[in-house]
Amino acid sequence: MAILKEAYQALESIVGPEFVSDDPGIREAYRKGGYGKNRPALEGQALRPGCVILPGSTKEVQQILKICTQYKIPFIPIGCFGIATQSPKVPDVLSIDLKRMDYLEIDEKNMYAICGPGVIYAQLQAECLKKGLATEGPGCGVGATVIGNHLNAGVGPLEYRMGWAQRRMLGLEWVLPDGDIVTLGSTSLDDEDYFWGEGLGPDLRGVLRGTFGWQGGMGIVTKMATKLFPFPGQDLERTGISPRTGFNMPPHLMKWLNVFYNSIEEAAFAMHELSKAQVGMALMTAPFSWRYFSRATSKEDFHESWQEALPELKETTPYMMRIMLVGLAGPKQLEYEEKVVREVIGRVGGDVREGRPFDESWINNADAHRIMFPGGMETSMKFHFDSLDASIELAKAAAELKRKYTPPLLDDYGIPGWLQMGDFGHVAFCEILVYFDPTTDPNDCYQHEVGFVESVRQDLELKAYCGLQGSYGPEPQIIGPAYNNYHLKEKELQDIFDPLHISNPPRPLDYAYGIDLDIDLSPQK
Amino acid sequence: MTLIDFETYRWDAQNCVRCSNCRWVDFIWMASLQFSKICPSSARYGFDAYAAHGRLEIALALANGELEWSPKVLEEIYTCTLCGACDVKCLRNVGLEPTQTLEWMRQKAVDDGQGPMPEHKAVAENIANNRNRYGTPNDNRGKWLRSDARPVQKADVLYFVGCNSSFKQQQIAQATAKLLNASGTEFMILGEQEWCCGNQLYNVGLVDQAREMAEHNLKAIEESRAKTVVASCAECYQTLKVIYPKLMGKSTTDLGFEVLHITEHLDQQLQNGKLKFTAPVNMRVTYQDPCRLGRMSEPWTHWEGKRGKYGIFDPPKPRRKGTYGAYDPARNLLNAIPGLQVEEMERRKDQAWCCGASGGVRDAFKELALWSARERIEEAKEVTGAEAIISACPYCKENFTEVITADKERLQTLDITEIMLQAISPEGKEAC
Ligand SMILES: Cc1cc2nc3c(=O)[nH]c(=O)nc-3n(C[C@H](O)[C@H](O)[C@H](O)COP(=O)(O)OP(=O)(O)OC[C@H]3O[C@@H](n4cnc5c(N)ncnc54)[C@H](O)[C@@H]3O)c2cc1C
Ligand code: SF4
Ligand code: SF4
Repeated sequence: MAILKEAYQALESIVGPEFVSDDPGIREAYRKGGYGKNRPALEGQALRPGCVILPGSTKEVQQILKICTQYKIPFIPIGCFGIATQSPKVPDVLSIDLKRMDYLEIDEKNMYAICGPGVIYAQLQAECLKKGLATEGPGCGVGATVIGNHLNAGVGPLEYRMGWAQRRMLGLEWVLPDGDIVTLGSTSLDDEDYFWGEGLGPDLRGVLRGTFGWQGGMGIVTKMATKLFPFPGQDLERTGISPRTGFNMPPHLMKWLNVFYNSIEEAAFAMHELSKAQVGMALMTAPFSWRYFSRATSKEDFHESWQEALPELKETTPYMMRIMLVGLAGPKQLEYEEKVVREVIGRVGGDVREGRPFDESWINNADAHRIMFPGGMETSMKFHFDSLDASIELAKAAAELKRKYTPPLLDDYGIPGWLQMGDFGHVAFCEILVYFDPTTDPNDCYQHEVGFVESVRQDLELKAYCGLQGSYGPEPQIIGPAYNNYHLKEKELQDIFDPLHISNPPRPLDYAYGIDLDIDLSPQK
Repeated sequence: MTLIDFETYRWDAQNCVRCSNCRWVDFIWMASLQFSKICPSSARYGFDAYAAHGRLEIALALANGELEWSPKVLEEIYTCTLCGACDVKCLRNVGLEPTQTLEWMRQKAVDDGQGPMPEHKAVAENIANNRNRYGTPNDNRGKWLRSDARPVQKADVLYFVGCNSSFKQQQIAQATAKLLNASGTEFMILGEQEWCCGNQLYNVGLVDQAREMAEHNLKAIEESRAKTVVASCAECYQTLKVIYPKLMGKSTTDLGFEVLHITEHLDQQLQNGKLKFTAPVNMRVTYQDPCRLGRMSEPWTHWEGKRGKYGIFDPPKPRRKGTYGAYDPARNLLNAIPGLQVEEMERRKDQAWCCGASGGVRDAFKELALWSARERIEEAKEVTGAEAIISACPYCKENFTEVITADKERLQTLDITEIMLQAISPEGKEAC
């Protein structure tokens, strides 16, 4: 360990010996993982942290960050480690695992929850459903921490109705890299009051988060309030044994409608018209491969049935739009919404079929990581919030690009990703997925990275809002000049809030691995 | 040499995405913040080195020679109860089998002269010297028998009693025997020819010694010509059904006999009318699914082959996902007892919280074992308001009992055979 003995002792005196460790085994467990694992651009050499600490309170977090400032120790905040940006890229970091801070309070009447950084979505959802409320679990699954996800991504199926995570953030408590506390919104007026996100004067939530956040590069949020939404959770019935577990949906209150199309444009137009009618709880066009992932009993089973189905699917290329309808005010609302959907589809076209009243994915995203099932690792060639028209263009362009590298990348045909409406039609989200397995085929990784760079260039040509690529890993310096040099402004802010650059360096602006510079794209050994 | 070849599972360690699903109750079934965790060692110690995904990273580092053995690394490995929850969770979505690697690490520890823990070595020595884990002479094995339990010399059914019920909690063996009699099941026992099943030996990585137990017991069973072996202990049950075939390089279906837990056998007898509960037992209870009767008890299928791109097994390898564990027989039996009110805890069936006793944890990390039991007792009290927690494994009961006694809890713990015995009609009792 290269963290000074004196600093270690100071950390130990904050949390006690049980909750800090420099043991090599414990450190090894904080080296790798999450979205982008095995992508050298994101995780770099994935060094072992110098030490790992588990704080139990805001006060402890403050004291820890003061020690980090005093000894110039780089630190990484860790929720569930769902993203590889938590792999230490510089030596001797302090990994701050926040899981002990699982404070949760729900204000039922005012429909918000205050969460500690250790609370995961599933816990929040479990408590919400009992109270006739709900949150929106992200597509990566409800194992993600509420705060970790609100700070960096926050995209999931119910976003159509509930909005993108950053737009659900209310009052919060934030420990800056030097250990000082900042409270936002109404919390700045009253420590106990998390109701009001904006507060008086400038709203720092934009600084804290932006498009895809700082990846731990802005201190630690120790409490955050998030909006909740009405949902008939008490009427859901839990059922099944693993791996086939799900909710039986109350037929008088919830319904699935699946609508089939021959082209993505037709599906998108229908999504647009439906969101204009302001109906539905979720609205998405998903690739057919998802059906095969979710039904497969094993990887082998998936590949066998997928290979069998591919030729015909490629011929017919149907697109499936799924709509979840919920009668929030009762059965009459469900009836009304169904009528509206059928009327709209009658007008714009589409083959409507009613789905089984069962959900394993959208309400609680229990099976989200099934998208890993067919391949090794999954990342996104596109991950964009844009207008619906731009999203379609992007999706098609990315699908074309991906085919160029398939094989070795998994052949999942058509538009290999999802297209959904967010914020009740105000934005569309498109994610194009890529499956690669550098652990058995080093060439995969190479092809993947090359494809990724091309995809970024494609975004620039199409003038797309390259959210993810602009925030994770090495692309900002390619994208920055095309977008008002946002990355330089980000750097200025970082200098103000983290002048010592100790909060998860070198993220989020990771120049060392610049793709246009000298990133090593040779096949991984 | 280790029984498990890490190279088959290296892919799992490399491709664990760290979704952390293996630490949580199935998200559909998660009903509260308080009872949302499923991995006891991760919940107790917090650091990821005590969760399956952290242990996979440790395994990779050990295999690559990037991590040295140390007492702390041994602790990280041996504080796992091998409860199998991480397998069930990972196989649900990502499709990895972390417990194969968890077992491999222990086998490697033994191979490298580092493991198991001193307490495990003491148990292993008892078994080596006396063929039971307690170190008492094995010819005392049949001493639990009372005149009111009647085994016969030759029968199709063999009751495999297990060390715990033979020597410590003999009331479980006695209740089992009476229930077998009451359900019209003729049964035999092996007496001193029954050796420790070797569950703990296998679980702590002592593969050779476990195989010795397997060879002896399998031969004794073969010589008895039993068609069905019934176990009242969930550990013995899993050993006979899953670990023995694994050790012998075959499948459960090749054993030549059927392995049933007493709850499975008695449920059959209940369904075909041979077992009747007529004496009311007026009590509110909840049921603890033992890991080794539930999610870890699916039959073993021998597999040989290789692994390719995307981790695909060639030929396809059957995965044990916990779907077909023996969850319902115990519930059918309890629900058939008049007067008994059976309430479910939040974490149940394949999602049950481990009592903490298994995988060698109760011997080497008693504090963790009792902590885990205490968590479960809390759930039983808070969620169900039960007067008793019923289990179907003597080790669960032993672990719960220790906490209940220490904490002066009003909640009782009973083995399922004990409560069934109370429910047998007066005629049934006379028949015993
Ligand atoms: C297969 C796969 C699919 C995915 N799909 C989606 C998707 O559909 N939608 C989506 O939203 N995301 C998705 N993700 C990305 C990611 O898992 C999530 O966004 C999620 O946020 C991770 O949550 P976490 O709790 O693990 O956060 P972490 O990964 O632990 O944290 C995320 C970042 O925030 C920082 N951080 C964590 N907690 C704090 C805190 N309290 N204060 C300050 N900084 C903090 C960390 O340093 C890290 O850089 C996917 C990931 C995978 C592996
Ligand atoms: S569930 Fe599987 S993939 Fe996810 S963290 Fe656990 S072991 Fe890794
Ligand atoms: S077997 Fe049980 S205790 Fe061990 S890592 Fe898996 S879930 Fe945790």
